[in-house]
Amino acid sequence: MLLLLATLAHGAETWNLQDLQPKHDRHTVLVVATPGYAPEAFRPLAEFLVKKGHDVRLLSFPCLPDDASDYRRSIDEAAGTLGEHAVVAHGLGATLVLGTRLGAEQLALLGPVLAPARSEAADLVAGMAVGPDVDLTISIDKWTSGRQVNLSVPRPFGATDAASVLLGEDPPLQECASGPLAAEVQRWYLEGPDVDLASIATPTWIGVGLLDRLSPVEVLVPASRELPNRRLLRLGITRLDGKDLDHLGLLRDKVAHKAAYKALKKGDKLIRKQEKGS
Amino acid sequence: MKRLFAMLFAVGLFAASCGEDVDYIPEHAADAERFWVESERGVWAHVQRYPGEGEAVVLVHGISSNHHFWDLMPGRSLALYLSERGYDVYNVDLRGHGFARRGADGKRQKVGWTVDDYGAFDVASVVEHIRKSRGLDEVHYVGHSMGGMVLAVYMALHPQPHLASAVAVASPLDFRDPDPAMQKMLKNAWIAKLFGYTPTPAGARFLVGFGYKAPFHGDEWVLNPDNYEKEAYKATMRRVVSPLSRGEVDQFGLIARSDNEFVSENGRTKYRESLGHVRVPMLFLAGRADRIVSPDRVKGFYEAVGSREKEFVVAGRENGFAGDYGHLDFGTSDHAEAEVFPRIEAWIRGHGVISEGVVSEEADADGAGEGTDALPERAEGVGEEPSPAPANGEDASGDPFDDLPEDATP
Repeated sequence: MLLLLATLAHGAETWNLQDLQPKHDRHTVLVVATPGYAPEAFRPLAEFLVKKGHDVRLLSFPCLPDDASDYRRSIDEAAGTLGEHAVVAHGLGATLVLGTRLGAEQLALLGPVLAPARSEAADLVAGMAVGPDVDLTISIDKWTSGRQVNLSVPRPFGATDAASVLLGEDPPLQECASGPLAAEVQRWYLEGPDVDLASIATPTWIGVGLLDRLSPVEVLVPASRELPNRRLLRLGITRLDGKDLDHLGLLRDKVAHKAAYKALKKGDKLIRKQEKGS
Repeated sequence: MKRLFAMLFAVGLFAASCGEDVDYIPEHAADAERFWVESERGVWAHVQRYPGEGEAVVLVHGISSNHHFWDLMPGRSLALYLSERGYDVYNVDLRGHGFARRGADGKRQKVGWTVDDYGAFDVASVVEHIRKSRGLDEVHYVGHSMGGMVLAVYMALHPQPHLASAVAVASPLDFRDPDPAMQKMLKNAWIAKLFGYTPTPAGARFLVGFGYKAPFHGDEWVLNPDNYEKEAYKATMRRVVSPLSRGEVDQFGLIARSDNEFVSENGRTKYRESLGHVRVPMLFLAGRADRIVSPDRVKGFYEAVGSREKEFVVAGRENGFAGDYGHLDFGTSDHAEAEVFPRIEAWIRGHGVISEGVVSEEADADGAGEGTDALPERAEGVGEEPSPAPANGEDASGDPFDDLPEDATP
């Protein structure tokens, strides 16, 4: 059993930073959990990196009515408590990371949302009224009004619900998420996130899943070419991984964990090589 | 482990030896018209036609495939679907594929043709044949996979292609950020080039010998088994696969060696950059579970054409499709008739060109050699520049790619 919760830092109750196995002679990795997801969903990824010898901190957020800039500030604050480190993140959490000050040496991002990602199911969710100014009790059945969004109410889509289609079965969502962030995320899906990809010099590795419907390959791959220092890997059957990954698969599956670990390792080598060269 | 592999190999060999042949004519197609179109001197494409008084639609299969892809069986046949709605359907076998493995003279055709050859000659000749015989100015085109790449070649060479509309189904034009395994295969294409063609039908029969679930996910590369009932799965694997020609392998190898750009055989034309002049209304379909052509590769095609009217659809559950489509699922899967064919038909119907009384009575499609007076010619002066050895190793006497229109290049 791994040593968990060895240290716990707080940033004014807006974020939690767990040091999963403090051995500070190792490379530090900050795993950023996506707001709205249960932090436990990121444990397998974080623990895999620990097993592989990294000094891992897991950053998670309670359900607060923060907007994207608040979350980014929290990530910056948490990262500021670390020395040299890499960041690993998934999905919308990865998108948030790209908008931070980016003090990390390198990024390993699994299925980040980089551009508008329209689909019938995504449009259904993106078109729902959320946010502080809308009385959701009127327009949306059980979604609560005000500063928080209830994520536990399924939105019907065909024979199933939108979350199951977009995320897969049994999504590890929290009961609630920030209303302001949810409203911004909706805008990201329709108009693209407010991140200037071309200005990001940090070496960035991106893991892509063919079955990812929230950050689909036809959106993610072309958009990621704007990143000046990016590597990309298509995970799945075409890499002889044995299966293709959907959005949650990129978070949960060992294939993705291994790929992220190897990406960090290779990224580290490239950085050292560049340092030697310069 | 060795024993397991030996058993797998034996089962596969057995399966490979007892498959159906692409020459098989299913009952539903017994009355279809069949004829050859000479697309170069002594080189033939084959057409299976379901005649109709309506708009003419050309269907073109993909790489290592044949006409069965668009006409597998009732309920899984775009050709029949369109024919039943009054369209005049021309289901093509490109040279060296399906019925066009033999020419009009009954002799085996040479092998080794490239994607360039199909687009520059076969498509151009079939379109011209239909225009003449039907008295039409424009036809509609539906291409699957390489059938769409072939269309790109045709459109790059023709500033004003005679197309009322086009549908590119799982057709790639953007090969950047390659799949690791695919890249390895393409970079080692010399193995396949040792032979005139790669016997992919035997491989498909090998896989189908295991029933629904092939080992090592071999079948999932080409289709999504979840979208197939057993008989259709078997029929698809047995009938729609034709040998992979050395020329095709060559050109795909060239893509791998050209910064993953789909370039002409002589390396001079980058097709992704040569379609800005295209104004043909185009529908692009991509499959969420397509391991051969992932949706971003189709999106690259969508973005490359200059058409004002164009649409890109990913066939996946997030867009209300019953399942996530694999590469072959668009023509032969359980839901294609309900989900894919109506979209294609609606696109064609929305861009119709025939008005009352325009249809010609000249249709005469039963003879070999139709359209020979309109053979596109290879331009002179080919072979002056070092280029990959002509894959067919034959007497190519010209290069239409020297004559790309001014407005076809950026």
